[in-house]
This record gives sequence, C-alpha cells and structure tokens, in this order.
Amino acid sequence: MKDSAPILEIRNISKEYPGVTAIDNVSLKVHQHEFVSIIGPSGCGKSTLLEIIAGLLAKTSGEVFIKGHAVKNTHASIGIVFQQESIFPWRSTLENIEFGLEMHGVSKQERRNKSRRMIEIVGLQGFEDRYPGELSGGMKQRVAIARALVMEPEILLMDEPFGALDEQTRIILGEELLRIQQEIGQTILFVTHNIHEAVQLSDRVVVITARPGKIKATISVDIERPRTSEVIALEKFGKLVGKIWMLLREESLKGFKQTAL
Amino acid sequence: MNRVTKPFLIQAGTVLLCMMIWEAIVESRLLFEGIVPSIFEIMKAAWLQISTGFIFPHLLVTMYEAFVGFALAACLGIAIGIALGVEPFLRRVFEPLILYFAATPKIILYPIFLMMLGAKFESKMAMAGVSAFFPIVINATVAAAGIDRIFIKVAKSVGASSFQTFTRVYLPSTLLPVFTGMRLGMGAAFVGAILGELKVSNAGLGFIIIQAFNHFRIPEMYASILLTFFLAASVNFAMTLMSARLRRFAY
Ligand SMILES: Nc1ncnc2c1ncn2[C@@H]1O[C@H](COP(=O)(O)OP(=O)(O)OP(=O)(O)O)[C@@H](O)[C@H]1O
Ligand SMILES: [Mg+2]
Repeated sequence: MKDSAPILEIRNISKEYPGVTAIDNVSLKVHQHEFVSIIGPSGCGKSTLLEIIAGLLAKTSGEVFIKGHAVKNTHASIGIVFQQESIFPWRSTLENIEFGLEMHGVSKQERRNKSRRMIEIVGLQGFEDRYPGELSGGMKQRVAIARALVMEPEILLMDEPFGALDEQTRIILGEELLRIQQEIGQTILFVTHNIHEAVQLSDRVVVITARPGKIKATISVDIERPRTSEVIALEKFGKLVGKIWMLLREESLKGFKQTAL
Repeated sequence: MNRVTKPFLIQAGTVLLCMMIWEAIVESRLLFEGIVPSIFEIMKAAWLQISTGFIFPHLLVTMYEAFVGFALAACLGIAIGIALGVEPFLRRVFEPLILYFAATPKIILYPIFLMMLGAKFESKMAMAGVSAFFPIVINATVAAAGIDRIFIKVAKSVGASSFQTFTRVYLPSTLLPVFTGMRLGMGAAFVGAILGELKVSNAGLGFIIIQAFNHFRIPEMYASILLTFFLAASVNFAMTLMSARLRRFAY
C-alpha cells in the first residue's frame, strides 16, 4: 500500500497568523483507504492544518496535492467535520444532513433515502424532524458527522468529531466509522486529543509538537482490520497508548505553559 | 386570569383612561377649547368617512405608496446590507456613509423628488423608499456581519455556489434581524409617504388630514389621524404575527 501514490499529500505547509506561527513546515502523505490520526497539544495548529487541507484557509507556504494534483481551493473529493458546533440551527436534523446533496442538485427522493440511512447509522432515528435547539451536544455532533458522511467523500477530514461525546458513544461511533470507511473505501484524516481513540481507529498516528506545530513522530498501529472496539483489550493496544503518551507528555506540558502565559 | 388576558386588560384600561381624561378636558372647556373635539364627535366623523367610502381611495393611495417604496427599499436594503456584512472592506467604506445619511431627516430630499418625479404618487414612493431603506440596510448589515463563519465554511466545503450560500445560509441565518429591520422600515415607509402627502399632494391620508386642517374641519382631521393610526398599527401587528411564524425557522 505504501508504495502506491498517496491520495493526499501535503508538502512543507506553514501557517503564520499575525505574531503566531501556527504550523511550521509540515509534510505528510496519506494513502488511499488509510486512517491517519493527528494528535497534539491544544493550540498546536491541528484545526488550522485541516482547514488548509480542506481549502478553507489560506496557507503561508507549502502545497496540498490530491491524487497528485496541486489544489488551492476546496475540492469535491474532500469532506470535513468541524471541531466546533456547525450544524444549521434553522434546519431540522434531516434537512441538515441533506444540505450538501441539496447543493449538488441531488433529487429530493434520493436525498431523503441517503439521509435516512445516515440517520440510522449515527443512531438518530426519531429525531429526523427536530431542530438543533432540541438536540443534545452529542446529537448535534452526530448530525454534523452524518452531514459529511452522506456525501461519501473519498477523503474525510475530521476535527475532533467525537469531542463532545461521552466515552461509550465515542467508542461505538468510532467502530461505526471504521465500518463505514470499510464499506465506501474512504481515506480519513482524523484529529483527536484522545490517545485511545487514535489507537482504536488508526493505521498511523502522527504526533504534533506544541506550537509551532511540527511533526514529532509517526507511530504505525499494526492491529489488523477489520477492527471492532474489542481491540481496546489487546496488550498491544496498551503498549501503543503508552508509547504515544510518552511522546506527547513533553509537548502537552509545553503547550500548557504556552497557554498559561 | 391568565398571562394573555391580564396585559390586555391593562392595555385596554390604559386606553380607556386616556379617553376619559380627554373627554374630561373637552367637557370642562378649560384647555384647548374648540380645537379638541369630543371623542363622540371624532367617532361620528370617522364613521362618516368610512360609511360614505370617502376614506378608502386615500387609504389605498397611502398604502400603495408605502408598500411600493417599502418593497424597493427591502430588495435593495437586504442585498446591499448582506454584501456589506460579508465584505469587511466594503463595510468599512460604506457603513459610515450609510449611518450619517440614516441620521438625516429624509424630508430634505422631498423637493428634489417633487422636481424629478412630480407631485403624484412617485415622489411619495421615493420618500417611503428612502425612509424604509436605512433601517433595513443597517439591520441586514449587522446581521450578516454577525453570521457565525463556520456556517460559511460548511457551505464552502460542500461546494455551494455564492448564490446558494446567499439563499441557503445568509438569508435564513439573518432572517430574524433582517425582518426586524423590515418592520422598522415598514413604519418608516408610512412616515415617509404621509410626510410627503402632508406637504404637496392631492390624495392620501396625509392629504385629507392637511385638507381638514386647512378648512378647520377639526373632527374630520382627528378622524383621519385616528384611521391612519389604525392602519399603521394593523400593518405592524400583521408583521409581528409574521415574525412569530418566522421564529420557527430562525434561532
Ligand atoms: N484566526 C486566527 N488568528 C490568529 N491566530 C489564530 C487564529 N486561529 C488560530 N490561531 C492560533 O493558531 C494556533 C493554532 O490554532 P488551532 O485552532 O489550529 O489549534 P488546535 O491544534 O486545533 O487546538 P485545539 O486542540 O485546542 O483545537 C493557536 O495558537 C491559535 O491561537
Ligand atoms: Mg482545533
């Protein structure tokens, strides 16, 4: 797999905000069907990196390639789930999930069918016609995930998508995400601050340093697929979690001091 | 007594009390003798204006002027307001100009409208339009500037066109504040139209008020004022009902 051309490649990406270097020269290759997690201390530039890849934020330097082509803007094969609450308060659950399909001119019937299936997958049956004001934080996040998934993007960028969920739901939805990924053959770049989650889901875990964000290490997770959440019980699982934490500890302390300043 | 009837009873009581004070002043003949008619006389004059059908053409003229002016102002105001709200640079350039102009009494433009558009409806429509434009554009600008950027990013990320982003994101997410601007604009449109009619015109509520005044037909003048008030109040009431329905779609 690693020898084939990467579906997504970022080369020497840097991003400077006035007075702050958020990302410093990050390069990364992601291959088709791969699940790569990015983990790093708060404020190290993970969201910034994802939005740059999605074409939503201008980069200071560097390049993004999709299937070998340099892209400067948003791209049809990329979908994104944002970290912050992003579902439209004026649309019901179903209408929110249909949004992207609607923008692409998909017929109402097909929109309904696809969205209803997505609603089942994320476990929101019975809430189709509710408005976001009536949903819990975790439910809203699941709507946002469904809204991105229903587009079946080849590359899915997810920015702490399960951050607002409780541990159990998080594990179950993670399992579900792997199943969907398997089914539609997606490539996923996944930001998280949860080490267990990173190991449960990923083929590789990329550890980012405290700001300015650089790649500190890349850990391969050699647990075979298809995986269920039962991998959590494996001895290998615990070892990997420990290894990643040892890499992350120093950076987290540094990141913490930065914000404390 | 429930939550709806109590305020209503207090409101009705307040109106009744004002009417009683009014009537007491008239009857006592102590103040404003001869220029404040009795409520009964006003009612009689109002009834006459309605039953003879005299008022209706004028009512229609004023509504026509106000609604057309308002509609033009709403289209322009919402489009420009959202454009300014979206583009920080445009906003920095034009918002101060709009705010200065908004604070200017629009009646100073009336002579120009009269010369350009004549003494008939069109000059009043223009008055209604400029009056309605400012509250609408200002509210739309503030609403669009305050949109959570994440919604725009979502639209962009699924490849929505600018037009789709406008209709599916900007319009719904600014619906309530824009509608508030429209309500204020509607009121301003009536002010503008009637102000124009009071100055130079040959039809409309403003016209019959000033006519009654000129001929010292005092009860008739009050009756027309009262009917004008009812018109403005019912339009505002209708818009309040509409905004309550819109609330369901907005947040
Ligand atoms: N619009 C902006 N203007 C200036 N600085 C910004 C802006 N957005 C982000 N930053 C800075 O860039 C750095 C990286 O931000 P980013 O949101 O990418 O971090 P993150 O890794 O996603 O953090 P978290 O884990 O807390 O979500 C932070 O120090 C932040 O203060
Ligand atoms: Mg972030």
